[in-house]
Amino acid sequence: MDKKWEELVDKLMNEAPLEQPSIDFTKNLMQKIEAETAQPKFEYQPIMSRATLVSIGVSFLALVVFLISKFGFNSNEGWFAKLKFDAAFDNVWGGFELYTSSKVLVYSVLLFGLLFFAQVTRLKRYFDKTHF
Amino acid sequence: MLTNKEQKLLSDIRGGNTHAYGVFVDQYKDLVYTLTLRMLGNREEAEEVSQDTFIKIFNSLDSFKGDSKISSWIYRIAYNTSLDRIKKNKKRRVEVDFDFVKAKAYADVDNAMEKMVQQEKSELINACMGKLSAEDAAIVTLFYFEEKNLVEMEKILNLSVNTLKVRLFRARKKLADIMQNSMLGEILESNG
Repeated sequence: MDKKWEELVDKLMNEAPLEQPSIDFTKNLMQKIEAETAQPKFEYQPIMSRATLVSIGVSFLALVVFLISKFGFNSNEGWFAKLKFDAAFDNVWGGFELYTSSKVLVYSVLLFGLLFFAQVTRLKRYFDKTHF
Repeated sequence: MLTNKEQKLLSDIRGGNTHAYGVFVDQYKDLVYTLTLRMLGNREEAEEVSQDTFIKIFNSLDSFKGDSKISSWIYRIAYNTSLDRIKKNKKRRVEVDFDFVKAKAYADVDNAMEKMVQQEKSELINACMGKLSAEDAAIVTLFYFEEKNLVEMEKILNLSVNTLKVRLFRARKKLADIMQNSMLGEILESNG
């Protein structure tokens, strides 16, 4: 009698059918896992590390302090006084001083610009329609 | 501990082959679902916990060293996930105390069982399991899953073999009594 109950449980449990989850079990699970793994693992990475930025900042400040201490604030003294930019600008702008343009040229340039921007919107709409 | 086939499957999964994981899931889903269902006593919850179990397995596959059977490792995760869910729910399962041992006609039960179809058997077992505590339900289920291998069960449940033996005896005895009662009830009902 003592062993009878054990036999009963053994028999029933050994013959016990396995339970089955829903038909979509694996499909649902794989969707969850794919959603989890497909999440963009984008992490913001600065172009320069904090240490580089700090060292650049410090060296720039040091340079400014050095230049001020060496040459002072006054631009009429020392090294700054020797800089002459006037000659360079005279050469560049000098040629334009006598330049004049006809009205036809001005209107044609304006019209070209206008049509160009009109086309940009048309072209954009066209590419949106055909390529996406 | 692992067969070549298992090793191949595992390395495929680790290599990022999600289809291989689908094959792996199909292989173990019934066992995991059966264990969680018997512990939780609710199909929807068992399905959710089974899904959580397989997600955990997927995420921690790298930590599986292969020093135990892969099924044992899976059962341990399923068992712990179920226990966590029970704790979260704080839902106490109704336990039936059977400290009385009566001389019962087990033979009658045996005959009745023969006539039961699979579906009924499954329902009966689930109903009886529902009257055990979640831990006891797991212990009994794993005892038969692992073909009575207490050493594997020790790894899954983190209990010593001696503790296991005691708990197993009580749980099986209790289950026998529950089965006895519920089945005798059915026999009496059907006989009018």
